[in-house]
Amino acid sequence: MKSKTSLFNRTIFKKNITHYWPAWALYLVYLFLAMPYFMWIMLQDYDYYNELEAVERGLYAINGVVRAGMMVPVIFVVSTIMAMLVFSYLYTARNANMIHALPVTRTELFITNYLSGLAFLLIPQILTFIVTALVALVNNVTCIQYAFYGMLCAAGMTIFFYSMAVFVAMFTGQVLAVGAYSLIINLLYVGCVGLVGMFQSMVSYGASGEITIGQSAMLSPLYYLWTNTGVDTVFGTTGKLESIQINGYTTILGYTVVGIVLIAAAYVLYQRRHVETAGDLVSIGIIKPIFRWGVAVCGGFTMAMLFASSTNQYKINKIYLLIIIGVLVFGILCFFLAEMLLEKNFRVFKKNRLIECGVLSVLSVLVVLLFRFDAFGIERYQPKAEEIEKAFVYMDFVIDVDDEDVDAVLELQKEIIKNKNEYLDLAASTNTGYYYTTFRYYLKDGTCYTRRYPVPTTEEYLGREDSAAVWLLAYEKEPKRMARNILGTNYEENIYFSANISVHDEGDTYHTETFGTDGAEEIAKALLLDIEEGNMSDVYLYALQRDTFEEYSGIELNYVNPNGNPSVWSYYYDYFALVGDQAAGKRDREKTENTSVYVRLTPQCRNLLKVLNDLGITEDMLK
Amino acid sequence: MIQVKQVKKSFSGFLALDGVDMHVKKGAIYGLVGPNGAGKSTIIRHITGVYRPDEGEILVDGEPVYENKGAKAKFAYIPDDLFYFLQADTMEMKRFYQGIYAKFDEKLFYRMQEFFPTINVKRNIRRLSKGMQKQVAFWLAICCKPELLILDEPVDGLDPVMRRQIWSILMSEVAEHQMTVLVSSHNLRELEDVCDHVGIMHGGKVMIERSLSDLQGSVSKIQIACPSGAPKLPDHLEVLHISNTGRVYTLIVRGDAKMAQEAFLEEKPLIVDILPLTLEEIFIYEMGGVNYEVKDILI
Repeated sequence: MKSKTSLFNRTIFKKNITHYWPAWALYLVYLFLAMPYFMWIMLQDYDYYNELEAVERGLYAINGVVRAGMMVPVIFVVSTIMAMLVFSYLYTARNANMIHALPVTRTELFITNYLSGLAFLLIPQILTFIVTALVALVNNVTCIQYAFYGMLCAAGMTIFFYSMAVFVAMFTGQVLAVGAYSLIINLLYVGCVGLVGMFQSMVSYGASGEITIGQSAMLSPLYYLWTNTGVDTVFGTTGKLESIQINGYTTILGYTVVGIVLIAAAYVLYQRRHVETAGDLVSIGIIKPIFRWGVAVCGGFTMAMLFASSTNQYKINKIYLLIIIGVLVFGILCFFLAEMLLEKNFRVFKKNRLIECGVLSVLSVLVVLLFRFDAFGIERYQPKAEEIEKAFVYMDFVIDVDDEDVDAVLELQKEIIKNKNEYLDLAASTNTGYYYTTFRYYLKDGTCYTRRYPVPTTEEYLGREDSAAVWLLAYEKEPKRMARNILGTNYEENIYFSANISVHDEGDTYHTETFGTDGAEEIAKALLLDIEEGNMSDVYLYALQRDTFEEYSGIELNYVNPNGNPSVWSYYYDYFALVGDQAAGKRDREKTENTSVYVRLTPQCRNLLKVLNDLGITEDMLK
Repeated sequence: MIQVKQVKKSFSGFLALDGVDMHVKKGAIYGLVGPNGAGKSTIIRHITGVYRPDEGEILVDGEPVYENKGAKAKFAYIPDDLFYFLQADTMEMKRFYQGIYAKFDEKLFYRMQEFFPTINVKRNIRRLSKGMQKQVAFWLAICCKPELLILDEPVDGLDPVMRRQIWSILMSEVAEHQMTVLVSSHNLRELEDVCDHVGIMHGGKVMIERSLSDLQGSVSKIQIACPSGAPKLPDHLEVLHISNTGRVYTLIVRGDAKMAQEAFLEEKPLIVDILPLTLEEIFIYEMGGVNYEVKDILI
């Protein structure tokens, strides 16, 4: 007759409390210091905050408290450590044998230990919230609801990270591996995407190496929660802090549900776990080949790329050969290293493993060759003009391509793709005869496509009317584009109110000359005239620069813009976010206050030099 | 009390148990012996429900033991490699066992304290000597009032006085409460004094499982000196081993000792004596044909 089923064992729970008290006590102390104590100090002693009105002061204090409580890395680390502690009995044979010989079922052990760890995490959070609320009330801070929402968010993340760590804990027999595996699994997806991006940029012609992960980053919870949750401050039109906004409720809720699923999976794994795997790096048999291949592929490719890039930075047409060598050497090393760790034995060179390693090596080389010779059409692919929302070209500076020029830009890129071998050979033979040029298209489906090519800029190519470099330079030299690059996309509405320039005194000293509105306006007009006449090419078109050239002290132009003046860079890096903000009315309303641009000056800038001369700054004083 | 039926277990392709069959009667003191790597600790971890067998069945008091709280509550287990919680003292371990084992006898715990006068119950157990740690394990295990006590190399590290005391406590528990004891050990001389049944393991199997008296009755040592020199060996006698010192021959024979003596008397020997065999000698001669590893168990 079997004994009646119980799900919770008080004795083991009490043992956990008494043995792991330093862990939960430290977490409690951290939370107390970071939240109620911080709040108390802020409200009592900090003069700056005491000058604010009570409501705003309270919001600032609560904002700090919620931020501290929702620190994703802290929650991850503490949750993982707690999982390591409460399930530590699985990782030494003596301990595992002793516990599993006791009249306690695995269900009881699992539930009791899981709940112990969870209690050690959640109870400090609840206690901290209660103390925070008391501190807030004592100081007449009434917006405690944000601290409560923050606590719920922290609890949700805690449940997820803790359950994830417990799930991971079932896969290994080494306590330290729990921490390492948790970190790896939490960042694996973004890491792999980055690795693939880096690999493509080295092997595939045109691949930029930039990665846009998007929503799929959810597969890397630590990264995703870190970047998609947090606290925002909301300011009113008067510039006062009106409220705070906690971001990522839905995301956290989603992960909490995932955490519950993971804990069910962990329970099933625990039921099937073999106690004798204590001490093994991987305790589930079917995971061992995955571990071996994962280490071999990730380690092999990462080290191969480091090896290739450190051995040969310039021969980009042949770098794939170095990667092949690296993948073979480091892949095999990593494969057998992983096997040694798994088997806890140096004698792992057995026939079946050698065959497996041979298959892995062949596949790795095949992957490199397939990418190098564009078997997947990555290099040849170009979006269609009608799919493109916005195009950018970036050689010397970023240009937002006019809609009517998109076809021409696509054609130019097509030509560059066609000349792959010629361009790569040239880039491999010279350090200065080419200039990397990026084509970036934001597509209507919300994705972004970026390619980067070494465009030849030797005298020979600059002398050919049909060369890519000539086309691009002509496009860059158009005054409107250069002006937008130097002064911002909405430069026509800039209101210049001052200008500064560092001038040479007699002797070796310098001083700064400052001009008011009139002087600044004159300088801006002269700058636009110099741009119009092409006098700024020396300093702003890097692709043309061959030797050093004379450059004077630059001018700092200070302006405001009532309608905002985002730089072309801002659009280039995050077009959809910026346009989305503008559509939502966030950007246009924000006027650009006290912004400055730095204008570089050469002897060719004759209009600027004339205006400066009229303002009392001679050319000699600028040298 | 324990029934092990055709239990097999392999670790990463290595067959550690190869169809173990074992039977321990209620109230018996069963000695499990075998060379290193024979599978003694592995089968004990199966009997205690720690390991799950790949094949076969293990019953404790008629119930499957794996994941069976009721069956596990009937035994206490003292492993060869003891584990105590970090920072725990004897009192804390006592409270732990008290919470885990429903039949834990607190009064007995305090009564037994006099048997272990050198143990400071407030001292971290991990700071106690290995022998003292073992004493604490016995102390706690007895207080759990188990029907079955499973011991893996139980008296290693104990001084002779404490060994005797521990065995004496165990024997009295067996006598008073019909407690069954399964004990694994290398030390055959010690087992000979306490066990009534013996199982010998080799290569992941229990090769022999008998009562000690059966074993001792099946093999005899005969010393004989004949005027003619070497004695003539009767045809029906199975002689396992023969050696001589001068005219005195020592024979190890299988079968009835009295019949053997009578057969030799027909030779009119100068002397003929039947001598008792130790457990150690029985194993040497019974298992002599297996290989050297079996002999290694004998010390």
